[in-house]
Amino acid sequence: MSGYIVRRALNAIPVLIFVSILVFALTNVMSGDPVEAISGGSEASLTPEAIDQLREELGLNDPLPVQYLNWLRAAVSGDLGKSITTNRPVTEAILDRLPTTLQLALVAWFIGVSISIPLGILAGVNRNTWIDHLATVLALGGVAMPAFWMGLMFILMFGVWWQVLPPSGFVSVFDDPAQAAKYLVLPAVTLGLHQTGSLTRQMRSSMVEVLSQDYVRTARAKGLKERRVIIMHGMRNAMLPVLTVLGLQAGALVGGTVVIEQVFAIPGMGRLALTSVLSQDIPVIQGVVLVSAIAVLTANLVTDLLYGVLDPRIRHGR
Amino acid sequence: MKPTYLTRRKALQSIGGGAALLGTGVLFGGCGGDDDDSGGGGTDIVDTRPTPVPSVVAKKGGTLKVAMAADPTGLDPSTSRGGGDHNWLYSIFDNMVNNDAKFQVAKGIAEKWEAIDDLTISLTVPQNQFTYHDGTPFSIDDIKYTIERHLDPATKSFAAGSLSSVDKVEIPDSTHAVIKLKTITASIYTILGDRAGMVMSPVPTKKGGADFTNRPVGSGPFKLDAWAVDAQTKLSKFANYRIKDYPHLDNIDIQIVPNSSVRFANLRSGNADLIFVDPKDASAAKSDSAVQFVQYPSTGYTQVNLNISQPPLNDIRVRQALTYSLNRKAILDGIYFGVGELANGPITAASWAYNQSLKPIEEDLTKAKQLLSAAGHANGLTFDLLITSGETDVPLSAMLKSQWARVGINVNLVSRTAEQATVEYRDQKFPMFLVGFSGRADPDLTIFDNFHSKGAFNRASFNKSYTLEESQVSLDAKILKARQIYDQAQRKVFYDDIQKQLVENAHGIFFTHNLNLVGMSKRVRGFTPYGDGKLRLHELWLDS
Repeated sequence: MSGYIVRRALNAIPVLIFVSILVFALTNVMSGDPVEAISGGSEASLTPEAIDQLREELGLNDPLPVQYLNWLRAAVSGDLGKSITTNRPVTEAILDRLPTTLQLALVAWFIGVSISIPLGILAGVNRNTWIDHLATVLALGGVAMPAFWMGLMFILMFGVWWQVLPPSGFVSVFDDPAQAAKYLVLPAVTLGLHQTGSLTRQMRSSMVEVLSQDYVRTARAKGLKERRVIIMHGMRNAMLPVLTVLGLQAGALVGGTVVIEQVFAIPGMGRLALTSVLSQDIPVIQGVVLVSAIAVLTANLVTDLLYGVLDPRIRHGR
Repeated sequence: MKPTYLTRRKALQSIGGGAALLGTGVLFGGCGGDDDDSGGGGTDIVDTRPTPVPSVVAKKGGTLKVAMAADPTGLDPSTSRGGGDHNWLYSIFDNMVNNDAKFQVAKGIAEKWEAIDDLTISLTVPQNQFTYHDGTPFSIDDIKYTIERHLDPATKSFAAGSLSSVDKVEIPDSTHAVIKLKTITASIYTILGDRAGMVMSPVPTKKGGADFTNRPVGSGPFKLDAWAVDAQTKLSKFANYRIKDYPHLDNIDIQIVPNSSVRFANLRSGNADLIFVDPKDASAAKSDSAVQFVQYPSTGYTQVNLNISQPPLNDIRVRQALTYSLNRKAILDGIYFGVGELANGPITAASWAYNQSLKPIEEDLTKAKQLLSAAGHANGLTFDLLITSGETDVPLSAMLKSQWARVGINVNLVSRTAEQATVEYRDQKFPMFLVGFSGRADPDLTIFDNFHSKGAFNRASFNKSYTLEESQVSLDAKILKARQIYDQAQRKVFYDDIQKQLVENAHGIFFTHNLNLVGMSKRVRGFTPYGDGKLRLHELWLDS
């Protein structure tokens, strides 16, 4: 198993390099000169001499491949450079933001799973009944409603009308768990509900398929209780395809946090990504994309390992 | 706070505010610098500024909670660059002199200011026994240091341009600083009341180095305790402030809430004491009994910025056709929720230089068509309009396109990020750009930079093949003359004429004058509305 993990981790390196080259090329081709952008978009303006000097200091006068190699060399040692707009180290900015986004994403993911798995099972078991139809409507509603609009409605209801939860902001669970929970509820539920649609539908169809298998009929013929048939024989087998969706959703969560963090004023990776793109802060964009790519690759790796846990045939390499 | 309960009307009002964000809700995080802000600003109530009540004694203590759209671009007065930065800077730094709410020069650390001659001004700082936040004592040399720091190319100060007419600073004794000018600069006090005049000491600035912008040390009434980027800044009262028993507040907490609807939700729920209100929320703010809503003239205006060196806009008749074919009232009502005034030029009612007798251009489609025809475009013409994907700019650009189409002017809307648009516009890639301007305390700082042929924001000045049209030559002469007169009444005569010429010759297409919209909780007191729209948070106090 450990050999498998190491092999997968090594496979990730070329992917990361490819991603970083792609982002570096795209940001440079599409955005132009960040110093010009900062200077031109400001209230006051820099003198042409100051612009030249700043460009030299930031290494922007070097050819693009040289700039990239310099960045890569530093990145390998953990130095992702400094933000052009704030002058803060990118690594520090990311380390500040990552725990925030992880807290949000994990709670949202947990909420999404807690709702969609039981709902999908219920729908699958009660196929073509009102329960199934209701679950379908709820699932499609979650997908169809834009996350930022759902968030704004929650803020309006719980923050302004009933005033039971703060409208926006963030407190880390490590600083004050009780306050953290209050601040996390609305964004995590918004993000979580948005994830439930595809997961519920996947769980339902997977359940329907498994419940029509011979081994389920055999289990019922043995006289097993229906609950046991569904949980031990149905759910466990139905989980495998669902796991793929879960893994993919971990990636989608990274993207989803951009919207949710913006609406709920949460200082996470999503906000960092958005502000850095809008201000053409290339070192920060590079850093954020790199870390996000690592997060998605890790989620995929964990998904692969979980296949093994759920299906011994995969674990034993059959 | 007593909870407010839902009525159908309230629900629809609130949902309307939320729905206005559909499709754009996440895309305005980068609107930092306010040069490019094109926010709207009411037609019915022009100025609801509260009358100061001097007899009320300010209460001490408390924490003011503010929600802002974005972080400052930095807190070093030299290297920060956003218009919103002042909301922090004015509390952290003392200015050499200040601009009061009517843009008249007022006391800063200098209690006296005088022009010794046209090119020499003297600042007197009699009470100079005070310290900066880190304990460094103030020295009169700090005035010289501050100005020289801005002017040193190595600092890369964004305020260097505004100080370009300064020749040198001399310190004759421990209470006087003498500023020698290369040319007469009528706006010099206004400039010193802005970021260029925020006093810094060489000790903390050199110690802080490049990080000074993140850990600023000033001598202002508040010091920065913590700054969590994109989340919150915490300021606390500077106990040794040079003015006794000031400031009133203990702390100011500023949260960053990018979404305007969510900022308003924070105010209504009591999670924020003060916010800038978006025009779409103005009517809800006015009718909310838990909110103090103040609207007052801003120096900002909305416009299409024209590069008059670029064809077809180098033809005055095409520009005039553009301006006569617009229905400004429809723009004000349809885009800015009726919040603002119809523009009669770039100087607003917030300024002493506002030309009250100048009427906004009225829609005249027949005249517009005649002008186009005379310019050789009887069959219409097509060119590009550069826009940014802002919450307001997208619907506004669509309205402009449809209004112009009525006279045969077809514009292609080309969208870019704010930063990219600024660069491409400067590089002569587009003839016009839909971008508002926040305005400046002194009319010269608005007029010269935008409309003089050498102005920093006049994109024609970057066109090497630009041949000045006749009207520009006379305009340049008037602008230069106006900036060299210290007497305000005399200057105003020039600015009245300049504004008339700018509008008649269509050097810009002006739509509306903004209003500053501020929402406060009922406990906030001491608010003075400054026309520049920049908050002096240190002046506030809490009634409970």
